[in-house]
Amino acid sequence: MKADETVLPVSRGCNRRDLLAGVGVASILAFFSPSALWAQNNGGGLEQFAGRSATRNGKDYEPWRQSMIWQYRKSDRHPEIIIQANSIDDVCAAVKLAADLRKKITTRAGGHSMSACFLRDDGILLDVSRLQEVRLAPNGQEVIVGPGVIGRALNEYLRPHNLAVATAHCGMVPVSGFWLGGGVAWNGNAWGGMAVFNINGVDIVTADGELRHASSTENADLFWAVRGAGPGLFGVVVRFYVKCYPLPKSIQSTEYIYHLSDIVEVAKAVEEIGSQVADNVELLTIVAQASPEHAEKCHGVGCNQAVYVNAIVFGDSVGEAQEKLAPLHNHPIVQKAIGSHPMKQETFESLYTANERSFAQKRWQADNVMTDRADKIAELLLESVPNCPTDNNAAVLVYKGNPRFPDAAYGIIGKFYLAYYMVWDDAADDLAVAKYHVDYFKKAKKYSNGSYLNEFNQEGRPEDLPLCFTSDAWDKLKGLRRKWDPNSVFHNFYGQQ
Amino acid sequence: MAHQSKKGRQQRSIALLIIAASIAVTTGVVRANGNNVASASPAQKANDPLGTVQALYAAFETGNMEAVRSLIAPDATWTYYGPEAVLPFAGTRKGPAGVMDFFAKVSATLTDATASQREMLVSGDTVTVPGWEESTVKTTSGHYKVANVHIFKIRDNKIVRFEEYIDSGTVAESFAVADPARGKAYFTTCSGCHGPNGEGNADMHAPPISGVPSDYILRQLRNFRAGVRGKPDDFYGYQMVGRANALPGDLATRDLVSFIATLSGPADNTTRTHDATIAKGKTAYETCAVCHGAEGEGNGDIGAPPLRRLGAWYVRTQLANFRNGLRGSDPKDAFGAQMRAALGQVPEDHDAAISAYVATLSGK
Ligand SMILES: Cc1cc2nc3c(=O)[nH]c(=O)nc-3n(C[C@H](O)[C@H](O)[C@H](O)COP(=O)(O)OP(=O)(O)OC[C@H]3O[C@@H](n4cnc5c(N)ncnc54)[C@H](O)[C@@H]3O)c2cc1C
Repeated sequence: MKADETVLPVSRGCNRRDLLAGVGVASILAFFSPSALWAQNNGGGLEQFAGRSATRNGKDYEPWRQSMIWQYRKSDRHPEIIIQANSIDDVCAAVKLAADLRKKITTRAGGHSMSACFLRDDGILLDVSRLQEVRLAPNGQEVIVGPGVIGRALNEYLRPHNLAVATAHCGMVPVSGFWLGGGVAWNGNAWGGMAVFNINGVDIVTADGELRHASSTENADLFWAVRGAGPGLFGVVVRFYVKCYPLPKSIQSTEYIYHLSDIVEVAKAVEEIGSQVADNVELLTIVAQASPEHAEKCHGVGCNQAVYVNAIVFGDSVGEAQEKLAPLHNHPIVQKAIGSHPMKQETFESLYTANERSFAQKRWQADNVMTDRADKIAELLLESVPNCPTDNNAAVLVYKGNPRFPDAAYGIIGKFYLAYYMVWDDAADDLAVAKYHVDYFKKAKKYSNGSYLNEFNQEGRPEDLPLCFTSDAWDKLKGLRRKWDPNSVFHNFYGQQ
Repeated sequence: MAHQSKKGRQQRSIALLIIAASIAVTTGVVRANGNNVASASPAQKANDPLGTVQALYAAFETGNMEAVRSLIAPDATWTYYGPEAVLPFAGTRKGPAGVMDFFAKVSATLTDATASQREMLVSGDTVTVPGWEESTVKTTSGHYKVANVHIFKIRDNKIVRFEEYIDSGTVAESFAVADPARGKAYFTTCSGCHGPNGEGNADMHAPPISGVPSDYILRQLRNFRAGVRGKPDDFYGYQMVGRANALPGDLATRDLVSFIATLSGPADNTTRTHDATIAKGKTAYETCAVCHGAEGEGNGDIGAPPLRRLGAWYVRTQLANFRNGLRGSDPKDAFGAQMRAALGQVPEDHDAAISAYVATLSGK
């Protein structure tokens, strides 16, 4: 894990001869020999994963299954086999085993998918969380990262090198699923628009069990899919090669607080402000529980919630931040603020920590839309939030502006990203929360350009999943899937079989 | 069944309330608060079921087993419902000797037992006592806290029938031996921060957990699960509250600890500092060495964990947590309180140096 370590040449192909012997012969046998048929039905070939696998009817299955899911709501789906990889060779072997046994496979990295989309009722679940390599490439501008790494660890590792990468807003979010599905990151507008566009290349195990490199110059069509197919990717990424940015010398944040009843005006104002600020100013408009002090000052419905407008400048100096925040401070909406915080120095760690404090590990559900109609979305929030069955609900409007992305599987854009999170304690509230949440998004859909897959409620409205892609991208993905996974070794998107 | 605590009495279990309510409705029950134990004087009345039961709990509380024995009728039956193959004290026993055998089995297998009676419901010669009990199984370290109901039938101021209804599944689980194979599955929750081999990751603010005595890890996991450790202002501890509670129960916690015990490998030493403060730290550490050992090897007998593999950042944070009461101030954290008191003897401006010095310890 040292920066000066030379990068080993990527081994392409776990072992071609093994592969031929494995897939070629074994899959023929799988069809004709009684013992192979037995293996098909009983998880044969699993011996190589002794001690790090579990079968549905076997010992210790439930602990394995539950441990795959980060949150406390353990979705009621039961893959036939769960395998935990210790190495890239294990990943190759697991994919081959899936092909041999004619069982579909899905990948789990950090298990933070709030829909547990990796959890299916058949086939193999492959956990790659133990692959935690992190090293800086010799050119010092790219970091090489295993899929089991967590955002906080990565930026802490890069800090002494004065570098940073685009990570999620909570420090504990694993990078793997986050990047592959898109990634709404800190300083996202300046750093690629979506975090996935910082991936320069990947090492990926494809349906034939081969380890390949994919980048814009090598297996470019596969790379097209890597950048955004997320939970529908037909391959297992075992290494990411990711672009690093100079660590901002001065991260400054400031905040204005408003009554929920002013949210529509606030949303309109943020849109105006957003169009005037630089890309390295992140504007977050958050609807969350009001402090007792603010709740007291408020009259009418919705006083339990308040609207927090945060602006964070990822710059080089306090002076730069002051200058870049002028459109925020000078906007007339600030007259309506019921509270504010003067500018303060941040670090990635302080930003992570502040977010995580309000998002404890509990029962979770998320959904979102990319939208150009923040005002309408805000209207809906005003109408809905006071009726939410859990107090611990938070809506976040992230100003995204007008990004231009390279051609890739990820392609949904909108001036704003609205994510709405439900966090609650009691299983008895599951149904009420689920209903409220789906109802909100049935209405919000009207103002939506589509959704962002990683925080999309795949369990609640699977029929809308194609809306996470442009229709061209959706069609192209289908074609690429046929090419790269002709025998459907990998599970398709959740709910799309 | 050992002592009554106010807190226990306030415990409410829906199931028990239902039982209590239905008894009240069907029999026109006389209620007595479990508090009024002292007012009992069974000898004065012909048959005083409530007084007899109160006397039993009082005798038990003072450890007066002869008095307990004297309250049991010669033909009494004493039943604890549960799987007899697993629970040595389960099943039906007869007469005073049987009851003594019951308590002998209990004390042979359980330790740190506490219990409380919520109330005593009297109906004719029968007294029903909902309550709870908490205990640790000596052989497995399994811990349980469960609701129970005791039903006594009293004749001539003696117990002729005792039945204990309890969540015996949970009690039985505490007798199960921890299984590192299951623990490995649960470890998936840990490895993202503490590393695939428990080596720790300073970048995640996660200390090494391999090479740490199991009883210390178990105690800390239970502290996190109960919120004794990991207050919101102890941020990385607070995150552990979420992770520790993701474990489905105490057996899973023990399974996990038994797997962590199998891990080895070098700790993450990336934050070791070797500067001038170390010399100052060495002197200041002498106070710490009394419990934690000269080489930071720890002393399990007094609950002092080894410090030798810890990074300076971790030691520094924990010292601060102990000082400001985020750790060691919860009434349920006796070992933490011990540490907090000891730290009171050390000037605060030595913390940085001590932390730097601890990070250089090799400890065997
Ligand atoms: C507390 C919290 C905060 C969050 N904050 C943000 C945020 O700020 N911004 C944001 O954009 N998102 C955020 N998310 C959502 C996050 O991006 C997703 O949950 C993401 O899936 C997490 O990655 P993971 O590795 O845990 O994925 P997993 O849940 O393990 O996997 C999800 C899917 O990704 C695919 N996948 C994952 N790894 C691989 C791989 N190596 N190869 C092939 N396929 C793979 C699989 O198909 C799998 O089904 C947050 C989630 C949580 C719980």
